[in-house]
Amino acid sequence: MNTTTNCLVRPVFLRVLTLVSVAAVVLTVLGCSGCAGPKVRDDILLPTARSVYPRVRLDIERGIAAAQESTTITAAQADALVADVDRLQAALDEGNRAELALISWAPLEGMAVLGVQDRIAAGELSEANASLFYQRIVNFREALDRLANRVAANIDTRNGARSVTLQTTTGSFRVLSGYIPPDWDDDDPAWSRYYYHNRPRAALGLPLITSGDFPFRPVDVPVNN
Amino acid sequence: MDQDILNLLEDTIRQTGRDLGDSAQELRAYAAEQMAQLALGVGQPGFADAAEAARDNVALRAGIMLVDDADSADARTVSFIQGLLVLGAKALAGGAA
Repeated sequence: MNTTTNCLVRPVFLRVLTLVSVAAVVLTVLGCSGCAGPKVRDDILLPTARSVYPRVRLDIERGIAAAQESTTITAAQADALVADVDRLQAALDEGNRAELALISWAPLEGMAVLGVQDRIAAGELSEANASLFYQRIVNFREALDRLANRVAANIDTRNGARSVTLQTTTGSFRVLSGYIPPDWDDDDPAWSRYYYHNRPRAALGLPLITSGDFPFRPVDVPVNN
Repeated sequence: MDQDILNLLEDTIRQTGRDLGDSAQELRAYAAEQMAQLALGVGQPGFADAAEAARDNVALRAGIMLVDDADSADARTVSFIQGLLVLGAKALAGGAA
């Protein structure tokens, strides 16, 4: 190969070599770790949620029965909720995360909370022990949110106050908004109480609880289908 | 504190904490918090069920942490790949930078 040919071929060869190297690294990276999130969802979080659901389901079913007995919900609403309980079970059993995203969890969460409250009222559960039940309900919701890639809450700042929007499902989502004072403490347990009580109530279309020790007042339409 | 419950929680951490990395410490703190709450309900109605709930909470929290960690890793990977693709584009353009 003479000098002129060498000068022409060498840059082309280097470019091809660079491209091949880049492609190899990209393929390696994609193959090794590009899909860690979905894999962890399927291999770890889904089986965990599946194993926990029977106990959460008991709370939900207890709540549905209590709500029906107290005529908080109609028989038709109870039937719809029971159908969602079964849908959720089937989606978890089948590992169908797309189906999970379509199930409205908030009404079921409301029933689960009612179920726990009903057990407390019946003397089967102390308030201290119930707190762990409430946390399980919240953890289960967070697990579902991640399995379905749902956004659980968006918090932003407007006019010196913060507006909170809670998105419960991806399909026909419902929104609960509220006014939070600028000096709001995120760790204030009152926020958890507000969240526990009003999020499921909003999803069910029930009036929100605005009195008591909640440090802020809701100002927006609680349910927006 | 009931030793069985303590063992149960420790087992859950061992089973799930193996791959937790930096989050393992956070999970241990969460488990300790669960145990402290459980201790408040000893001898009260529903204690056995509450112990089960505490175990469920630790297991769910572990799964949630793992997903969050994996999502962060994926985001870093995507960013890395984007950087490599830019390099590739430059190489295609003749190495002009």
